[in-house]
Amino acid sequence: MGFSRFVIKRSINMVIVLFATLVLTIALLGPTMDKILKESILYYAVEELNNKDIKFPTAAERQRYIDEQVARQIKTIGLDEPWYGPKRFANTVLKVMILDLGKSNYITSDAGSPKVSDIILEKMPKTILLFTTSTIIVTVIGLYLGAFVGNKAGSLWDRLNSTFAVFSSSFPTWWVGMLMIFAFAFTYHIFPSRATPLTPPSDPSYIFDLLYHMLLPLITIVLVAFGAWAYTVRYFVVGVLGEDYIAAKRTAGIPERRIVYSHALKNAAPPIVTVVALSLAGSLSGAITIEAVFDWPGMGSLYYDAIGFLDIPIIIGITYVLTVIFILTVFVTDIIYAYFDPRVKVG
Amino acid sequence: MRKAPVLSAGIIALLLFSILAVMPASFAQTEKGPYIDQVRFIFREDENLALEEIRNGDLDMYHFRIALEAAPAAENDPRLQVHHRQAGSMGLFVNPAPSDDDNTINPFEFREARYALNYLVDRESIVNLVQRGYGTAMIDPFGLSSPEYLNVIDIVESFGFRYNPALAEKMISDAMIGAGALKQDGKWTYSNNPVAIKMLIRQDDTPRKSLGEIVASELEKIGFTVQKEYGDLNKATTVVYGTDPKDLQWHLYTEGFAGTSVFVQYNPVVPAQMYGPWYGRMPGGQNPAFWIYQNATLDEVTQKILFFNFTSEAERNDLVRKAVQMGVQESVRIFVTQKTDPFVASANLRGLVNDFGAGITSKYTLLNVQQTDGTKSLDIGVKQIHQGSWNSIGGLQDTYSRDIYSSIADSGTFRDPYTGDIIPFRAEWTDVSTEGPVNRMAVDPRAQVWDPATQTWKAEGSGTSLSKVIFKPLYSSWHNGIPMDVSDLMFSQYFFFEWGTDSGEADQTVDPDYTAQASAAIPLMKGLIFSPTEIETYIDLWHYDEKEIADSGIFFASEPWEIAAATERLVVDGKLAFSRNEASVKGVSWLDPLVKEHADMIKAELLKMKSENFVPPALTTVVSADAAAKRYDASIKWIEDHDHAIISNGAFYLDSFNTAGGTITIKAFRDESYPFEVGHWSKYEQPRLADITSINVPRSVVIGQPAEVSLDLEVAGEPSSDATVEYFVSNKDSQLVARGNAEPEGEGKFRFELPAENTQKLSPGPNQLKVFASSNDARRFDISTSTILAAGSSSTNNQTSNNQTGSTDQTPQQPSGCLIATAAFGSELTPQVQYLRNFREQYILSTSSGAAFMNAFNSIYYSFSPQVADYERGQPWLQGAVKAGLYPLFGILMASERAHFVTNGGEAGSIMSGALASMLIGIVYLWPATISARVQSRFSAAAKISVLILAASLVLTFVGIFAGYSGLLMFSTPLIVLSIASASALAAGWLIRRALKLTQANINRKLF
Repeated sequence: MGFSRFVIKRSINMVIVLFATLVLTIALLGPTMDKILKESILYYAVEELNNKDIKFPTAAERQRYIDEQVARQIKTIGLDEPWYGPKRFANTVLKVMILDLGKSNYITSDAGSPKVSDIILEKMPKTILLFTTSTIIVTVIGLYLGAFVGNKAGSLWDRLNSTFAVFSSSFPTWWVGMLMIFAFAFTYHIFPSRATPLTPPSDPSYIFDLLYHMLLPLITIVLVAFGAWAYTVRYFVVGVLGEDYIAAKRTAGIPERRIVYSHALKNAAPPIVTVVALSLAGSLSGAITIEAVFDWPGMGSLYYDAIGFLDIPIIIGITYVLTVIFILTVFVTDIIYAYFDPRVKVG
Repeated sequence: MRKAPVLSAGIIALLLFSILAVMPASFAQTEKGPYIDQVRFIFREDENLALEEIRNGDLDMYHFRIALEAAPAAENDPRLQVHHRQAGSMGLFVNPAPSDDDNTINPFEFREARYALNYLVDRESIVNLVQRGYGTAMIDPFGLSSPEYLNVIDIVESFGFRYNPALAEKMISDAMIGAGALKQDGKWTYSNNPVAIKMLIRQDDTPRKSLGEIVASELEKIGFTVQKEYGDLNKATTVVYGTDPKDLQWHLYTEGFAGTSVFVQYNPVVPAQMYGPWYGRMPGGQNPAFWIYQNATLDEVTQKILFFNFTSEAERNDLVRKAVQMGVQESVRIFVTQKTDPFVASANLRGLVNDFGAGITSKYTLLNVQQTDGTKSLDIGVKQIHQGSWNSIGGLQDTYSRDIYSSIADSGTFRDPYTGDIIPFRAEWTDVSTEGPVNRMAVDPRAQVWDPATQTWKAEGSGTSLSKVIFKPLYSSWHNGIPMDVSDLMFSQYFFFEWGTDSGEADQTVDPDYTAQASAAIPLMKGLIFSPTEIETYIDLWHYDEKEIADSGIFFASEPWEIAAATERLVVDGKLAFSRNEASVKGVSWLDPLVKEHADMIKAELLKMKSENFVPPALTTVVSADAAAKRYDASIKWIEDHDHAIISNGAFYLDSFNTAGGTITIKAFRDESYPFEVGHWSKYEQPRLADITSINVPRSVVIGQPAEVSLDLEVAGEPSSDATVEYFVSNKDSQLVARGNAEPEGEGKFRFELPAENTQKLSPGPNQLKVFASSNDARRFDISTSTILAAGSSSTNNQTSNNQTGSTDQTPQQPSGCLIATAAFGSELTPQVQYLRNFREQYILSTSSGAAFMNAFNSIYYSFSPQVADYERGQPWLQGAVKAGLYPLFGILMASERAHFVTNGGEAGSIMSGALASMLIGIVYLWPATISARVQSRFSAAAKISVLILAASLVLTFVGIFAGYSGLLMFSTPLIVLSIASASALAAGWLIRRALKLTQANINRKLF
């Protein structure tokens, strides 16, 4: 099929997948969350009274206050209509599809905005700074190391790499993070234990302070992840290095370094690019445990807080945004594949 | 002549020198505010990492509890100081709804079965094992730490709940059989179906998870099929509070309550919240679609307490006692333990005030804390730094923001951290008068209220009120430098009336959340008279405690009127909202003066107000346009300098909020106008706790004869009678036979007599005496538990004899402490010492054989232990050695607890557990003395002698128990212990020698 037709078909698929994801998310959340939310509203309305020094003259006055509070909150959050109600359902789906994510029920941004988009946009850069940066570093190290050991399959280097990959993948990142903090922050005082600097952003030295504070979580994530990635690249490269044309290039006298890093790696690119792209997309969701250990307020901790508060708009918003990013990534990857590899278009 | 100028110059120089020498000192004396200059609150989510940071000196304190597992190590770490805070409770919530289905039954629809749960739960064990000693057993909803407890002690003690699964099983069986259930193969069935109990266990709280597992296990042992379901608060909210109890989706739930953030003397909410069906927290809530648990008497009693429908203190106390008694009897909500949370700070800090309610996070701590190294700043870790809006009308909803805000904003009144009494803070009341609860007083014709309809202050005319309060505000400057005055207080009351009144659709000054609360309070405010230095309020509130009336009648302002007016205009214009709900409804942001964007909006509004020469209508009589303009300028400058609009009047001001770094920095407000000098609150550094240092209890009491008990008491380490001492005596069946107050007899000495009619009700054998002492300055009890051995008239009885001090005391003193262990672990409150004490109280002193053994043991132990303890306290190496030596003993005692249970307690249980403990002590501690060849050569003879002595002492013990002859028991029980210990030590030594020989033989064989 032609390239244009391929792009159109993929685009339509993308929209359908997005719509289906959104509907599924709302349908899964809807019935249970509505019930939980309504009961929580009543529960917390009474709890709030326990904590406040409001003197009601009679029990009837007190009950009236509670009933009014509950009714107001239910109406505010939109729970007066069932989740599958046409108005509520259509509004939610259509608005979210065009990235009008609405307002959160409980959480606000540091700048005081209740808009879900503002809250997500406030946290996203922090996640990109740490997790996407570390993903890029892991990718670069993994590519070169994987190619290096791929060319030395069976050697000591190869075995070391494999062993390290198994070990590093077995340990939870948050646990390694705790160990790193105890070793390099508390015992040897090389790095600070918090990943966030105390200097304000207006200070000229803030960026250097931030990079310094970020080093420990960055090293932790890279340390845990690069081994497995190198192993994956090694696998692809070994496959390519066994091809006839590689042998032909060797026979032609092309330097080994160029064969490995230019020819083999390039031909191993398609699956590598897919994994890299998906990793980059996945990095935007952050990691709640790492963020909790290092006090890094990113997307992971936002998602966790939203679940704790049952802030449905934020849960739906984050799920949708990450889905969009993921699907877009797959879409772009497909396009790149199709462009470089005619076999993909025909398939 | 020439001498005169020289002399004058010398005198002047001397005067100048004197002034300069005195000036720094006088400045230091009148320096205002806190000791430290700066506090930085730093977001640190993980408490374990925060603990490490305190150890490393990166943090000074953490405003959240540390894990119980980490607490023992923290207690022994010289870099740390650990403070305990009463932290709420946990217990069981029981579903009493009857089953709709004829084939199933809810065991807990029967009150007797619910009540029996109090005997099925081992409260002491849960405190010791699950909470690791961090807590106390709890039966009533107030707990030992509450001042209300003194009122209900006798009710609580009269129940006499002890772990007694046999009794619990009997009570439940009687109820079940009466309902037609059958026990088949050890399992309860009803209509041929197993009787299943659904238990919802909170898994997100480790102690409650353990509680649930333990209770489920106990229920299974007595024949129920337990279906355990795990969940968090959301699940509990849905299942427990959100379903019809009659659907029986749950039978039991491991419920928990948070503690109060402030230590209060009166807590009228608690009885209603915990026991009153009308309040909405009992099964069914108040949902008309559900089956609702009903109890009209509890409704009536708890409503009277909460809505102040009583006419005297005695009447109120009776209502509270009745509510507690009925609530415990109904057992729909069963309290198991009160929790204690450990909070940690650096050992470099001093002056922390451990408020009995708020702990070291109290406002007083920051006012009084100092660094021992002279550093003037503090870094405090907090779990959350900005969880919601900081506006004082509809914000500050989370505890973290309120904690920080309380350090920058002062209130008119506050509470004594150790008594819960209302104290004047920034307002001193000069007159509190009341005609209540029945009569009323005339309101002064000059008194006014704000009339939203006419937008003026309106005189109240000929109204009446129950009470009147006159108070003098202690003004200072606001943090922006502008002096506070009556206009700020007037505006705060204007706002209360204006926004608390909903005049209809056109009324823009309505925020439903705030309006609903304020509208409930407006009818209680009958009139106000403002003057520059004094405020007079007329209120429709009465309390027998005039301090509570004062608290209701006094108000203060937490922000300058111009900030309040600017935010009011922004909200009325629809740009922001005070409450979260209203923000959602109107689609605007929730007003948060802490964030720069909103502060800039406030600044813009202030500029507009200045250009309009705006003076709020409520203040036109007291504020000129010029004065208003000065205020606007000051606040505008503040916002420009600090990027926020939080301006208040406390000892600290909010310097900066670093959103990226997750920090809030506050700095000391050193303005001369601040009323409190540095160190003003140091009187709260140490609570003046009562301490029963010794108690003289008769060794034995003749039933039907009077007896006397005396005790020595100290308050803050000095003999004192400035305390309340109350005693309770209960017999073997846990029935209260005597209670009363001990009378002071000289400084630090109290006595009370047990008259004949009370001793007549004692049981032969051991009876329990509990003495509660609390000082008038710190309402926390020191509790002494002793055993009174009662016997008939033929027994050894009240022998009066002169003891060493020459008095006519009857017995050797019975100190109540594990002195050597206390000296090793540092405090009687440590979990380890508490465990030893609880073990002694529960398993040894509860029986006559155990009590007799303890008497014999104490007579030897206390002859040398005080000296050893004194020496030990000065030798850290010895403390460490004793600690190491004691740890195996804890394991031994835990094992012997099991022996106690296996034999279902009682005398047999006491003897079994003593025997097991003796055996293990011999094996663990005494074997080195028996390993020598010389001792082992006499093994056979020694073993025979031990067995003979053991047999004889067992016979004597049984005779002593049945005859009630305590003197014989005091002889035979130590013999049991010694014979078993020595026999097991010999056996252990023999085994070890044998093992060594075999090993040596093997080695020799291999070598050769």
